[in-house]
Amino acid sequence: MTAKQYAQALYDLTDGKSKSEIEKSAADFARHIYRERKLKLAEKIFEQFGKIYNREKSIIEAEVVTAEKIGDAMEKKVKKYIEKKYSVKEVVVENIVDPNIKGGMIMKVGDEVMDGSIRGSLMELKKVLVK
Amino acid sequence: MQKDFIVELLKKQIEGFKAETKSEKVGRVVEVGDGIARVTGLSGAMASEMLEFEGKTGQPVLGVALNLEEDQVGVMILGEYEKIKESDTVRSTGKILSVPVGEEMIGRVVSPLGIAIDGKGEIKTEKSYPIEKIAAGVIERESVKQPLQTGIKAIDAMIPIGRGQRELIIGDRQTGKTAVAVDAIINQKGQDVICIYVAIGQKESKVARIVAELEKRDAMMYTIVVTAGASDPAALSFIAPYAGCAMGEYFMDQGKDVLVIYDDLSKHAWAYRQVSLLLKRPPGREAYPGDIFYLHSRLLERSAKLSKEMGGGSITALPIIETQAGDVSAYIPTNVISITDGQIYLESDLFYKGIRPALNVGLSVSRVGSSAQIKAMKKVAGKLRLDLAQFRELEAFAQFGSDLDESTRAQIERGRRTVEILKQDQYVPMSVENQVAILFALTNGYLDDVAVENVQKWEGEFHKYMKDMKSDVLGLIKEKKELTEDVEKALRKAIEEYKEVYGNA
Repeated sequence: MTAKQYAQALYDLTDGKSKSEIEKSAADFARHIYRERKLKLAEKIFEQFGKIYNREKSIIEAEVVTAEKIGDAMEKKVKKYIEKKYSVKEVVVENIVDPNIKGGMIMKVGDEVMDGSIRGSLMELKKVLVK
Repeated sequence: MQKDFIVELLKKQIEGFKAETKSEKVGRVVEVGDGIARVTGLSGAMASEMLEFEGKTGQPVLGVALNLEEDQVGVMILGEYEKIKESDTVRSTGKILSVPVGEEMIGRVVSPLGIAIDGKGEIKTEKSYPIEKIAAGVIERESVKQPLQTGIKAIDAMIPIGRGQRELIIGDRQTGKTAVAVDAIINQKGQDVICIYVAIGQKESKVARIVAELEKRDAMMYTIVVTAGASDPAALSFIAPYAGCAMGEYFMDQGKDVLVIYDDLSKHAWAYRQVSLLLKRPPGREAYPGDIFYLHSRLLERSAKLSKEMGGGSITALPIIETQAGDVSAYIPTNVISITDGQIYLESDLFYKGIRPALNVGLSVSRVGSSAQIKAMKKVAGKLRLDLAQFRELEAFAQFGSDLDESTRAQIERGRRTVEILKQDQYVPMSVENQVAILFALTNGYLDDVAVENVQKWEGEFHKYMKDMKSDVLGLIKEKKELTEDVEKALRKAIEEYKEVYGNA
């Protein structure tokens, strides 16, 4: 079985169950992996489980790079925008502060990047001027 | 004043500039090594699309997406993979890998990416062609009918090559494969043919020597050399023949004739094997990947003779294959033999016997070239083939010398002279009218009374005599391309006159 299949099994075991049930099945699952000598897959299973969980629950993770820490109002705006664009129910925003981008914002969702930073614009300008 | 003007101009430019926020798909390098990178993300990447690795410093490194897997892309890196680090950003460009093409490339030595490496400055071209292109279809083609003279007597007479043909040159190392190809390039002077020499995994010193030789003989004026050296990454060796072919296709589309030499495809197969194995594609026979046949067939299929409606251009391909200890039944040689329209088989035994070019006439064939031969050559070559075949059959008896009957001995003697005439030095290609004249003299018995060891000297003097005294006869052959009765008569007369002057010495 691959990490992905384990993760799917784990999701199926825990989906829609009460807290105590989840606790029990998670423990069973861990024991099973241990017995099957698949503990080395654990990291990958966690990663895949995260992906499957997010997909099933329609949650999306976004990385937002700004020059200064993002404010609440702005974060809400960003969330709304992403929710609409990717038609998901929930957005988890991770804010990374990087003064190097000078201003504006870079938004990363999955493998898609939207560069609205001052640094990015300056690079574009440089390209145009060099031409 | 000047300063203000420039500042004004710059201001205007900047005002007009509006940075747009656009979204793009990027990937991240998870593994890199041996010229291969594995990239996650990049969900929109297309097969064989060009990708850009953005290092922290300087120019981005190019790559080609070869393997598209469930959540990874296997990328072949073109250039220095040492600059790429784990977690570097990878951008897709939306373009298929292409090379610059155009007249500006002629006379230059370039890398497979079309970058000049001869130190003569940057090549400025506006056009580019994708390196992988589907070959011309049935409707766009025409049968091969125009000769491509290599200037080598044995080849032009018995294994003729037509424009648009694919003729394999095969043989062990050090049997003169490249020499045949270089002679063919040199002989295209003034023939309105553009030559492309693609060196795949060759020693830089060998390429330098060939380029110097071509320059010395004014052949670089119509030649492009594409080279992926032995020290370049395998990825460059892999794309080199396709790049050379794309440069040729540009000229073919202009209605010109092109000669492309792939030197050599065995090394190309090795380079592709390396890339494939590193990409974890399953190995097959001799560890080559499953699509090794298609690798060469799609390349050689791009050689074509286009119909008049398509401009009438052509690409003639002379792929070279190096065999190991004469084994033509190995995997790659059999593949390429079956793809091409015939092969020129060079043998080391003949080479050491002093028969150069070391052509094995029995095993060499040209499947379409005979329809491209001029009539005059066809007439003398038919007889030549017969003479040689009979000689080979009787050669074993030659040691019995005096015990043989008259006709057998005559055939053996004729055969010996034929072998002598078919010898030819490197870098001295011969025009087709001279070839017809000497082969006519040979097959009609004018050399039978010349001693075997004097044959080459006799021939040398003969060509000199024809050039100085009988250029009208040569002109007649060139013009009529046929041995009509009066041409034949004039030729006979010239030979007889020459024999009288020169004697049999």
